[in-house]
Amino acid sequence: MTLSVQDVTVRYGGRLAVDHVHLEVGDGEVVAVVGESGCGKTSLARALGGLLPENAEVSGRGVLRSDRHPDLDLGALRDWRGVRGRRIGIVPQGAMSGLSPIHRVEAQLREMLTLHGGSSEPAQLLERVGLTARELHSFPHQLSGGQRQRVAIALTLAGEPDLLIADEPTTGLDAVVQGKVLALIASLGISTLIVSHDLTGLLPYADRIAVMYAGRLAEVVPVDALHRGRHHPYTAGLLAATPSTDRAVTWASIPGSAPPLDALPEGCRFAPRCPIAVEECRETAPRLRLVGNSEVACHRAEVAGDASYPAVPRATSECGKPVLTMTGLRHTYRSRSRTTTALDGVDVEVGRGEILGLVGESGSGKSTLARIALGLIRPTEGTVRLGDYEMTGARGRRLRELQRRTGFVHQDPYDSLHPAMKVSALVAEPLVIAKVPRNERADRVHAALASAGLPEEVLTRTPGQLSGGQRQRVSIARALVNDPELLVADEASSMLDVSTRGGIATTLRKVAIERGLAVVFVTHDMGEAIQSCDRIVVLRHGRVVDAGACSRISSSPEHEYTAQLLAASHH
Amino acid sequence: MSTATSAPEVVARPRRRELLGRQGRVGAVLLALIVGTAAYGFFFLPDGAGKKRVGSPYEEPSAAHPLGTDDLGRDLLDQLVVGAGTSLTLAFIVAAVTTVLAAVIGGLAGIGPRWLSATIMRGIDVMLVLPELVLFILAATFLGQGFGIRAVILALILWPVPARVLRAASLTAWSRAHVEAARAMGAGQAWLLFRHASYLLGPLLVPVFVRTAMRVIIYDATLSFLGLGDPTAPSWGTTLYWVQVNGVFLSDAWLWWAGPPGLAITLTVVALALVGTSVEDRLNPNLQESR
Repeated sequence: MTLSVQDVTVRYGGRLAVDHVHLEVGDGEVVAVVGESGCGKTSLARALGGLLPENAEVSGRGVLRSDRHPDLDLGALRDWRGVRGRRIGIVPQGAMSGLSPIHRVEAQLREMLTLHGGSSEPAQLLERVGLTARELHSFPHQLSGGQRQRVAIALTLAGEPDLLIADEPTTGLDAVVQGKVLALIASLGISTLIVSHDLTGLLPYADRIAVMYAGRLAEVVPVDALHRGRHHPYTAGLLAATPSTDRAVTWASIPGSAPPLDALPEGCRFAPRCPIAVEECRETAPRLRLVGNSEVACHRAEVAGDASYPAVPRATSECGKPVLTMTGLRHTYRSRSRTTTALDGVDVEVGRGEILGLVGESGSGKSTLARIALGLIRPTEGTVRLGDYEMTGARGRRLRELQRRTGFVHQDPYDSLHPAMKVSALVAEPLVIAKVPRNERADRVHAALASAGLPEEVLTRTPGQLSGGQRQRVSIARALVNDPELLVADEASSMLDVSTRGGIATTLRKVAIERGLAVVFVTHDMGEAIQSCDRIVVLRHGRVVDAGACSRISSSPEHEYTAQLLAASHH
Repeated sequence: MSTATSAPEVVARPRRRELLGRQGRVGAVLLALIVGTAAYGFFFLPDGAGKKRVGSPYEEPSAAHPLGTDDLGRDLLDQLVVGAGTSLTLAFIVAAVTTVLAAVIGGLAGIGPRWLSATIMRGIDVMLVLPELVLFILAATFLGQGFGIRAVILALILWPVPARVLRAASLTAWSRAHVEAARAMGAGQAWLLFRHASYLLGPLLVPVFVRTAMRVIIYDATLSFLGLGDPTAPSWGTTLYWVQVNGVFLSDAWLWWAGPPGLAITLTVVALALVGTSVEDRLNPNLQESR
């Protein structure tokens, strides 16, 4: 047993972020701490690395054992020098900023070796992480994101730590690279604690999974047991809420959202969202107990197999006549020294009641395409028709009138709503801009809120008082309020927790059916596109490499790149 | 999901009460005292105070003339008080005009068409290369020393730096998601500016105003000190000019003749700087992140 901690509790002011967590990491074992934002997983990882900010209070006991060093009592530890780096290695989140931009890789490795008294050579460290001696003389900016993360791991290995703590080690990397980095970490043979929000992404690489919810452990389960049967309804929900690339597997969402840390419910904290909760769950908090070979904190673990979550619906009818037609689109961005071709001969058509998925990795031109459809960017070449009107030639007032027939849901729910405006004003804004008479506005705002699945009482709140999922619904309501013909959702769920993503997709499907709306759904997640769209267009380097019905794309991809994307969506 | 967890804190803005902080409050109190003095001079001192001969030349401080008199027997305290009015009026008028100029030009450079932006930016670059003080002195020499002319020259010299700052700010504001969302709704530029960007840009105008006022006070005092100001209107710089002409530093009189206007200039600039930096520290999002 390399690490064993009991009763780890972290508070920020009065807010309880981590609540009496017990955790063990065996020799050479890879344990994944999984949960959604605000569940306390990052606070736990930081507490174990002694990296919490000043305003945090930590308590708990813990021992770090190793055959090379004396046991270390973590509870009594005050001075982390000589511990971080030599005993506990920390793989930083986002290696983009974790490396020094002005030193070569070799110099950075040497610094770590000197600092922690490591005995290896820089080249050996690079070899362990799958890089070659050639990279020794590179600067970080000359390396790809995946290579940089590998260098960051090599830096952590310099002090030969007994335990690795990796907090979201694959943030910002493309799906294909993520898998490779995780595989590398798992293959090092060092006891490792990986913290991540991506449960299914970690399944192939972790030995045990610890699922956290609202500061508590919900379940600690060996991965092979997880494959056989699930015990905690939240774990089941997380798995069901991760979109599969197989159309036969339904995609579900967990209703509601995680409770804020200063308003935690009594009893089981998951009870308000749990489909099988009973009276007991709302009254007494369940303790971790052994069920099979996993530890579960659930009163109803024995019947948790019955837990079923609302599924994301599919199309019910054929799509109508085309709303948006884009033909021969080319777009180049010019800067002083070079031109970048973002789109190169793209044709796209979306009909009434249809949801079109635009899929591609970063740099594929999907966001540019979405902005051209909205009239925010004028394409270098090609035409865009919205209904019977030509959009490409329109300027000024005429363009703005056409833009009022489209709705836009921005990727970032935290920035796309004016922070000082109330929800009522936010949703009514398109009506004010379109000069809709004042007496019609209230009814349309209410109808749009209902379509977006929001209760009336949010009308008087500001965005700061809403959760990410609710904010994105406000965005959807705002996009719907002026009865648009076209809705463009640019990565609308990418910044949301996995349990609420399906909810957003359900809402989009509902409005597409009810209002006969054409929807362009931009995403980098192939699984999400296959589950929620009718047709998919796969973009790569500004060209359409594959296009067709979701079922066809998922079962028999025509292009090799589509197949790669499908494989990278690993479930 | 780290981006999602850290984002809400960005939205939280400092409470209004904390707008100034301790050093800012010290500056505000100082500034209020100076403005109060200027107002007293404007409303309660008789016409021609500081200009008329009220005693014999070179009097030492006494109960009747607390700071003594100058070479023409004019009261030095009156000159100091009336001078506060002249300096602050010029400073605030020029600062207001400069802020508006900078906001309009910087805003146009930020959100206007590309050719306009390029033209304005190259124009600003040319202005920045010119030595401001020398330009001001030359212009004052050839165009005259009237209050209005000095104000116009200063405003024309001082706008480029804040215009650059405001152009950068408007570019940042225009790239915010809620501004883009409003553009996609078909909102016009005026709506975007007043509904969506004003709360991002407005706070930046405060430090621009304060910093410009600070520089105006120094530049105008410099001009008067060199004898290029209006020699008949009492001002801090003019008093210092007569100090130099009369060789006051050779006697003890510098203590009550040169000291007070010098101290007044220093205190005013320090007060403005304290207010300006502390407001900027709290309102400029870039500085908040780096703290």
